Amino acid sequence: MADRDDEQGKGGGGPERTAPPYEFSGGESSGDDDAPREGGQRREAPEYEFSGGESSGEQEKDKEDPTPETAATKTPDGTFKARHRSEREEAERARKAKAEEAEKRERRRKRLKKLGWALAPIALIALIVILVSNIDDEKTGGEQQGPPVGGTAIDKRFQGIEQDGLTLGDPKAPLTLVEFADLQCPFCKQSSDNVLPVLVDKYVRPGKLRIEFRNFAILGPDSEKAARALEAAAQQGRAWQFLDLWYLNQGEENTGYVTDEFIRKIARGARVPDAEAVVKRSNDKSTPDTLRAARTEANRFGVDGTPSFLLGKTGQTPTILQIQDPSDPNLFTQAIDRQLGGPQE
Amino acid sequence: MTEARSRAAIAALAVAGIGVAAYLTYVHYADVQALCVAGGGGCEKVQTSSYSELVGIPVAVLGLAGYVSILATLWIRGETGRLAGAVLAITGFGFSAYLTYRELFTIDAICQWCVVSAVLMTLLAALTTWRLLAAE
Repeated sequence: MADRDDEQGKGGGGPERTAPPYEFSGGESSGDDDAPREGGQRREAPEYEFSGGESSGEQEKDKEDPTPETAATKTPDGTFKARHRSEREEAERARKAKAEEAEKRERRRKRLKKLGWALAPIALIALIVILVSNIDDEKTGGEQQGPPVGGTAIDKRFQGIEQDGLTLGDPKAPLTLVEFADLQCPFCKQSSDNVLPVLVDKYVRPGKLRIEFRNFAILGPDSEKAARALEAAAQQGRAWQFLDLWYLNQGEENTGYVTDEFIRKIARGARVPDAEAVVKRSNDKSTPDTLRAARTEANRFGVDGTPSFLLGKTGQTPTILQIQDPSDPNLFTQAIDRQLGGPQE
Repeated sequence: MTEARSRAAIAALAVAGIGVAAYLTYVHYADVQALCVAGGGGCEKVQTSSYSELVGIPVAVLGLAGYVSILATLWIRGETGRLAGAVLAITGFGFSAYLTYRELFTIDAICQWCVVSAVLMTLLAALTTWRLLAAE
C-alpha cells in the first residue's frame, strides 16, 4: 500500500501497475478498494471508488461528479483512462436506464389517455341508453320497480263510466262483450293494453257497449290469488282500474311476482279505497264467487283458454267471438260494428 | 406475467364467458328455466325481468357479443388490439356492474349465472388493462 502511495506521490503509476481497474484514486486523495475489507486501515475515504458493475444511486451521483474526470484527464496514465471509461459506461448505462424508465412511464400515461378517450364516448352512450331504457320502462310498466305506472291515465280512461262489480258500461247498452281472462295471462295483457282503450272510447263511453269481465283464473295459484284480489277491488267499485293497471304492470306468469306488496301497489295505484282489504282477500284461500261463476259459464260455452270472448245483444245469450289476434282492435271493432248495424263514429 | 401468459389467461376467461353468455342466450330464446344451484329462483326472475333486455336486445346476447369481441382482439396485432380489448372489457365490466346493481336493488334477486359472468368480466377488465399498460 505504501508503494502505491509512493507511486501516486510521484504523479501516477507505470504500465506495470496492477491496481484493479475499478479503483480510482483522485489527485488529492488516495484510496484502496481492499482497504475497507481489510479492517478499515484506509487513511482517506475512497470518494470515487466503484465496486464492479453494480451501481447504486449514490454511486451514480459519484459518477456524475466532475472531480474524478478532472483528475483522470490530468493523469496521462492509461490505467486511469481505463477506469474512467468504465465509469463513463456505468454512468451511460444508468442514464439509459433512467431514460427507459421515463419513457415507459410516458408510454403508460399515453396509453391511459387513449383508453380514457376511447371509454368516454362509450360511457356517455351507455348513460343515454340506460336513461332512455328506464323511461321506456316507466311508460310500458316495467315490473318490480317503484309504484305502478299508468295510474293517472287509467283514472281518466274510466272516468264517468258506470261500473258494477266486474261489469263496465251502461246497463242499457245494446251490446255486451264478455271477456274470459286471467290476470297473469300475457295475451290478455296484450288485449287489455291495445284493445280495451279503443273499445272504451268508441263504444263503452257512448253507451253502445258494456263489457263483462269473467274472472277466469286458469294459470295456477298465483292467478287465483290475483282473482281474489280482483274480486275485492270489484266490491269497492274499482275492478276495471285495478285489472287494467295490473295488466300494465304484469310480470312473467308464475314467477312469484304476485306478492302482497305487488297487489298493494296495484290497489293503491288504482285508487281502490281500501287497498289492505284487497291484500287481505287475496290471502283468503276461499274461491271467489266470480271465479266459480266464470268456470261454470266457461264450461257452458266450451271456453278453455284466455282470453276468450262472447258477443251478443244485451239480455240475450251471446255467442263465441272468434278472434284470430286478440291484440288487434280492428278485429273487435269490425265484429261489434256488424252487430250494431254498421260502422260507428 | 408475460405477454403470452396474459393472452392465454384472457383467452381462457373469454371462452368461459362465451359459455355462460351462450347458455343464458339459449335460456332466453328457448323459454326454458335456467339451471340454478340450490333451487334459487333468482335466475328465472332476473332472466324474465324487464332488465333482461336493453333496447330490445337480450343482455345475454350483448354479453355473448362482448366476450367474442374480446377474444377476437387477441388476434389484432400491436397496441390497437390491446387497446380494443381493454376498452371492450372495461365497458363490459361497467355494464355488469349496472346489472348487478339492478339485481340487488331493483329486481331483488340474484342470478348465479350473471354473477359468474360479472366476475369473469371483472377479471378480463383487470387483465386487459394490465396487458395494455405493461406492454413493451
